[in-house]
Amino acid sequence: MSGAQMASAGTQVAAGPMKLILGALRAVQNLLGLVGGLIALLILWEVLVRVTETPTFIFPSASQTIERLQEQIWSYLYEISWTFAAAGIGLVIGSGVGIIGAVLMAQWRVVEKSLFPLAVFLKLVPFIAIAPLLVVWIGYNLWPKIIIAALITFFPVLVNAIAGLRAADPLAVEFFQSVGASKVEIMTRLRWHSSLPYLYAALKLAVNLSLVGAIAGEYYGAEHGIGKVIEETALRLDMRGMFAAILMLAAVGVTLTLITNAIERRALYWHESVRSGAPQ
Amino acid sequence: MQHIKNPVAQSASAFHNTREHVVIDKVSKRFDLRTGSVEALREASVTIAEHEFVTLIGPSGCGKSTLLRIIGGLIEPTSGTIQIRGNSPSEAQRAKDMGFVFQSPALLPWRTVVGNIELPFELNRAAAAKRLCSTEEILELVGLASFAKAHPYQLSGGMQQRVAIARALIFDPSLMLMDEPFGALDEITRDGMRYELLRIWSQSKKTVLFVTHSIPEAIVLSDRVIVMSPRPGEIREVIDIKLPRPRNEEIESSAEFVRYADHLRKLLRH
Repeated sequence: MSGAQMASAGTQVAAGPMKLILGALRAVQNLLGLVGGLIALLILWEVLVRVTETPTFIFPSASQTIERLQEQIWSYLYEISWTFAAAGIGLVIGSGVGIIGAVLMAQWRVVEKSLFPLAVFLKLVPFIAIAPLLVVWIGYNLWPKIIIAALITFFPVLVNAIAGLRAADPLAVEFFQSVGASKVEIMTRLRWHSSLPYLYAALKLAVNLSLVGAIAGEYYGAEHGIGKVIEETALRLDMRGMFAAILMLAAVGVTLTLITNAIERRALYWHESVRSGAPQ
Repeated sequence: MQHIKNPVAQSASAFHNTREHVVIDKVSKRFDLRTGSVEALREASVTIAEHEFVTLIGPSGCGKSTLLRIIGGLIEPTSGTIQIRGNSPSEAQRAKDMGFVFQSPALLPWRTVVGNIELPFELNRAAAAKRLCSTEEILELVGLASFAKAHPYQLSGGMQQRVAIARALIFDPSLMLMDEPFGALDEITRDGMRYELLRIWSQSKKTVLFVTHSIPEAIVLSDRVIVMSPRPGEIREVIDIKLPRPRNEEIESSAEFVRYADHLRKLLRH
């Protein structure tokens, strides 16, 4: 037992407010870095387009795109909310079924043996390819997009959740058994928490996948959605409109990632990946 | 929980006239593997008295961890019986009369020190209702009173293992099963933890079964050392350690200590 280690652990415990301030400073620093990077990228984009004298109908400049986005922002926000709804509902269904399936499979090997091959089969089907079929069957409404988003988010969540639930420290499992804990208690108080780092990794991926699925679904026929906007602007060769939509999608994507990262940091404060500040 | 008696008086009476706590009778264990079956333990018989500190020592694969896990009710023996105060291991487990400490602390990193120590109570509300000692008392006993709200990652390895010991003590079990609890610690921390454990043991008066690879550790801690040999796992010899208690670091340079160490080393060399 080293006295120095004891002392340092003691100060860490005591210095709550100090830690908070440091954390806020680091967050501001990260945000500044992000904004700086974005501005640099936009400037590079503008300069490249002007220097090469690329025509607008091939590649509009940053300033033209931003100008167009300003004009269209409210209608685009409205359209993107449809995409969000489809992706969000699909994500909840897909990852929900994935998590429930993982819990059942981790609990009973029999369930895993009978259902996992089916899940692998589902994974092998390229669902984006059957989007037109779903649109024909179901129509131009939200459901085809929801189904595609759910189907493509299901598998990564399932596989990661199973791996996470199995990754519980075997000695901790034995300790639970040694005090007579039930299988359900081992699941809720040990395996579930151990699986969270894996689950968050899968969910971050699934958030993006669900958007991809929803947008792909919209390409094949939709009344609303940012995918529909992109498709229509492409048909009209309205590159400014299209780039504005893509830029907006990128901005939304970055915001979503920042939010999920923040949630992850709060939930996994105890995990090495968060404490070491690994890139996310 | 702190039945503080005179530790010296206790050691003298440990295996002469006190009650039997754990009776191990011809316990064998076979593991059936795909490549054939392995005899991990053959007809182990030994009786452990109340308040006794007994170490199991032997090379890897001699079945000492297997024996400890059978006593703890984590695995079933192939043949033979174990009685813990007249009960089977699984009955003793249900009665929360055993505390297990493993080679690694196996703490839950998302919980604070207190959250980890009180975990067993959440798994058994009936036991929580009639608890005998407060978490503060136990933290005091293992010397972690000021770290109640720390998380495991803020503690050193030795401190984490003390949390694991505290967690095993929370039900105030009469029997502690310790499977190489200091095996993952560095040599310096390990030396200190030996005497720390002796202090905790002398204050709490548990019966302790302790698995180790370390000869000095076995001699310093034990009333008796059970020497085991591998393939098949068997009890080779049981040695009384008649060193006076309380023991401190000086004992490790005494002539008797060296004699015990030589004897054990010869036994283990075969």
